Amino acid sequence: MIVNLLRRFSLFRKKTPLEKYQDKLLVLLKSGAAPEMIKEILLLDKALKDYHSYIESMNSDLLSVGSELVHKWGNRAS
Amino acid sequence: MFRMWYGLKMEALHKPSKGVAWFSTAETYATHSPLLENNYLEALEWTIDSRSFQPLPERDRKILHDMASRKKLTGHGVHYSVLSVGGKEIRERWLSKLKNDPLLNHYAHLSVHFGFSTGRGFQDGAPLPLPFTAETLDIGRKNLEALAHIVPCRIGLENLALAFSPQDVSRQGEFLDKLLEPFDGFLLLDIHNLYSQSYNFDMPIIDLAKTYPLQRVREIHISGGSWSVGKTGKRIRRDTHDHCVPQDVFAALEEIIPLCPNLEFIFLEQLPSALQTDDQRNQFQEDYMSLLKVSG
Repeated sequence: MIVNLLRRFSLFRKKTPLEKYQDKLLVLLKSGAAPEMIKEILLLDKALKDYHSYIESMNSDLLSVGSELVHKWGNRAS
Repeated sequence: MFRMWYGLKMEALHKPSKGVAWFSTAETYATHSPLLENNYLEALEWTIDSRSFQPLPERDRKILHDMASRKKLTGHGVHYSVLSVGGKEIRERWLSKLKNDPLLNHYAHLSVHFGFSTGRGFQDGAPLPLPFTAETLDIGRKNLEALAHIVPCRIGLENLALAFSPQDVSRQGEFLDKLLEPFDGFLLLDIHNLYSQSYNFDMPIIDLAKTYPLQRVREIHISGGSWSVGKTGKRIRRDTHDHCVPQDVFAALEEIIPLCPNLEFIFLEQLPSALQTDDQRNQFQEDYMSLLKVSG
């Protein structure tokens, strides 16, 4: 019951693969890492296996555009 | 004779209203006020979160309210992250501010962006693409439901320019249609966004447009953009909302309008930062006149 309460308040909420993918992608794009490295890191994460085929097909130039946009417009939560 | 008159009248009744995206800045006012004063602007789009929902200056308030009174004001939100799983508190704060928007009951319709921009530690930013899966569809519908609960008018989504993968290009239309279905939502079709994807992924723009649910299109955007060069040496089209509208975009607009039976508004967009000089403002006004000519 305590675990359910904690999950309800997001303290131990299990993240879905989608949420993990979104969190990880934003951090990697903000980091300025090269697009090939971003893809490699995402592909090494077994929790994101549902997204691996999509990740493999990502265009490096456009991933760089994504990095630029997150760097320019992405605001960290205070 | 009556039939000819009736046909022409029906055609006139169904012509979409043309206008511009309005921002509360000196540059916007300097550029758009001549168009407004000479009755060239039939409608306006207001980016509802462009000032973080802060109260409007009196001048802008009067202009927007006047357009709203004629049912020719649309609302557009940039920072509601429709496809984000995390950031629930951020979305709730955004909706709470929207509830207090004095124009909320006056928008002809209201759109937000397809994509996600929030996640752990990120509160807003430019929207990014996501693959079309059962999970992404489910989260998108839940977030749209929360929006529809607050907004008294029809809600819609704008298509995204940025695509990471060919999947993002080929399936965005289908994804948008499925997201909008439960709400009878509308599509805001940004033709420059289509143009960017068409160039970047080498797909003819009209073929790409036809993968979208064009019967849902009630609003069209056109704008300019820019070029950059990727590390591979390939030119990339960027949706930067600056510079003139390419001729290819006007040509696509002319072909796409007849494919959208429910089209109500067409807006020319340009960021205020790209309206600093007389040349830039004159170019914008020329683009607007071209829009009026192309769209009839």
